[in-house]
Amino acid sequence: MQRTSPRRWLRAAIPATVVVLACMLAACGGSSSSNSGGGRSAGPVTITVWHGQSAGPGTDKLMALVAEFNRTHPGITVNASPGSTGTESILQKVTAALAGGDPPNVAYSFGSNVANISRSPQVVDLTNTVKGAGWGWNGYYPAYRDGVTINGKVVAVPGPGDSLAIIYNKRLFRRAGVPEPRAGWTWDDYRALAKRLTDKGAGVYGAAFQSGGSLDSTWPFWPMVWQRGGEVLSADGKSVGWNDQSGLGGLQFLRGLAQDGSVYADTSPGYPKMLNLFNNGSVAMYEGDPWQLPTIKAARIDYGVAPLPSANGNGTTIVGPDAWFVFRHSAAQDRAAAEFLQWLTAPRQDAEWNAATGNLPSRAASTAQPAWQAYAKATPGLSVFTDGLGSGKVVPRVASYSAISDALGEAIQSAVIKTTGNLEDALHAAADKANSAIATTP
Amino acid sequence: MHGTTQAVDVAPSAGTPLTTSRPRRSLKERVFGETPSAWLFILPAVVLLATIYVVPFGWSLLLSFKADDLVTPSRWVGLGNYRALAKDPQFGAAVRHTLVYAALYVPLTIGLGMTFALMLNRRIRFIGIYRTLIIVPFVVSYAVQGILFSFIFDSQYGLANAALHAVGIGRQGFFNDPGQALYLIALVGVWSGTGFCLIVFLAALQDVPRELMEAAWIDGARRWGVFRHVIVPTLMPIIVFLLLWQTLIALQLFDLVYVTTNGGPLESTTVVVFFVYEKAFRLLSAGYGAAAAYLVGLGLIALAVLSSFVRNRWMRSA
Repeated sequence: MQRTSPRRWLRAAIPATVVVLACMLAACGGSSSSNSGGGRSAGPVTITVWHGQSAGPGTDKLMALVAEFNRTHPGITVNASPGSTGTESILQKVTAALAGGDPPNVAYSFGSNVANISRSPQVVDLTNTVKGAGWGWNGYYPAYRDGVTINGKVVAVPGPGDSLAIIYNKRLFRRAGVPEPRAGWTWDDYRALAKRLTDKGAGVYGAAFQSGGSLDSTWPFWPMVWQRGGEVLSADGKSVGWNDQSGLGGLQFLRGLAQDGSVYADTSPGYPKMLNLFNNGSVAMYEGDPWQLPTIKAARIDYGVAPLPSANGNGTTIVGPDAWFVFRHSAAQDRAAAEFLQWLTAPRQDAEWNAATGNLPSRAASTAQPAWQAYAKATPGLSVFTDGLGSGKVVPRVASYSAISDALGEAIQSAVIKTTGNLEDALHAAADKANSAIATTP
Repeated sequence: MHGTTQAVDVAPSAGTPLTTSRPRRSLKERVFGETPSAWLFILPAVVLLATIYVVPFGWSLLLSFKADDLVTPSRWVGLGNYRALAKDPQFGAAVRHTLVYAALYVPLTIGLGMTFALMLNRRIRFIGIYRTLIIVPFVVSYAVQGILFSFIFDSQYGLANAALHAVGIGRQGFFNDPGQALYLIALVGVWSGTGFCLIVFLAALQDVPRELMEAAWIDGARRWGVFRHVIVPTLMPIIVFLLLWQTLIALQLFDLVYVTTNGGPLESTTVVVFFVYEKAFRLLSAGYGAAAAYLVGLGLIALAVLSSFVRNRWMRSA
């Protein structure tokens, strides 16, 4: 056989190398060039939206709304995609995109990530935009506005949210012969009821608590702190505001449940186990979110919803609004992004989307919309959650929040999964840890 | 025919310049070697691999010298991250947890793998079924295993507690008990990791020369003698390989922790890779996470070098 000459190989190798390099360049720079191109031309503006929702009826509804927006706004084309495998993982995707210098125009985020993302210089300051005519800034619930405001600066548009109330199984209450909870009840009532509802023989726990120590554990704990006069952060923001009776009271309440043996301590990541147990009638009541109601209904549980118990006559609940960020591109694109978000969070669209996902709308006016009314009618107890929105509080948006929550989460864990051990020591240790995290977070 | 003439042609011409004209080699030749066109052949692959492997490696090394939250511009801190790590009790605990896990996982998977391999390496009825059953856990993904075992070892509703109750042992905390969770994760790891060792050992056992075993039997060796003096020496390279491999797997433990305990309860199952994930992607201290990752990486490299050194020495002595 004739040996192939090096020259012939060269002729093959050079184009191959060029193709590989070109592909890599295209992969790195492709989307950014298309983004800026859309802004410069006078024609229609194209914006990219990462909505972070996983597949489901809520996402179908959102895509339908996006299509409606594109139809009714000829100057703007919205390209919406999840951007990540779910809302949990969108923070990683957004930070990676920011580090790479190529974020989308709009991205969705959990409220707990607002402080971290907003530190990026690429985040558009929306203060003047949302307070302009036509936005109805004051129409958003106060907690939702707080949730996207940092030092007086509006860093994002409020997205859907949720709040906490007690979800309970009516059948288990009847069987135990105890009265259903009513507004004005206290955490002591909750503990006493949980004890009476617990039936180890039948495998029933009176209460359940997310005890993994993550953000899901501190989320139902903050109302107990607030109701006892505590805060997440002290007034000067330099230390925690719960290293006192307010934090201790909450821990003691949880330890009480543990000592009574009336609480199912769910240490699995997220909520699934606790919800499954409630849905098969093994848990009588827990601090729940509104988005859980559709699955409870589907499980054919005869459920009721009561406002959170109170301490010292204070029944404050917690509100968790998500957020829509706008990242700086061309001025035309930034304007288009804001216009899209204004439209999406206006009452009709707000009501329609949230009725499909089971989240709470961001404006009080949305609850009067036909779509929300129909959903509320089909979902008993929903109004308890929306009623809490007016007076509910939101955790402060500080970058050290995850670390503060982790520290307190450990104390919460030791209160729920152990029946002995000094709670004051656990609380102080958590506060020390959180304080040093606050001090070292820029 | 054509090939032979060529070989005769090439051999002397390539041999002579090598000995006589070495000092006269041009710079180009010294940099690109005698066959510069070879570089062109491998260039696409080199560029691709460099982009995928070397660039992130270098980038994360740089990152480990910075305070970087991936959002705001980063700040150079030199060895600050490494100094902080040395003093961080959480990192120390994570290293400890990882070592405990590895100390359980590596010997148990290899020991059990070899035992099962010896048991399954014979002609008995339904051998195919036994082999399949023992290998199944290895095929099941970590995520599925995690969910499966978090149900079995649920402290309040789990099967395991029901079984213990039946034999009169009190309720255990399992994944809710900081003193038990790590060992439980090691148990699940061993349950699934044994399958891989088993497959490798089964394959290696086919290579043990039958004549050697027969010769040993004829010489009067008992079962243990054959195992100790014939089978183990033949399997030695495989055992060394598995020691390294299983250690690398153990030190990289992440998914099982992520789906069962999420590092808890009370941080009792936070292993190093989980620590890196937590710091870098949840608490957004990417520089700090990168420094921790680099320490883990250096540990792994040291381990690989050490093991290849041991292996070489062993090969030479054998």
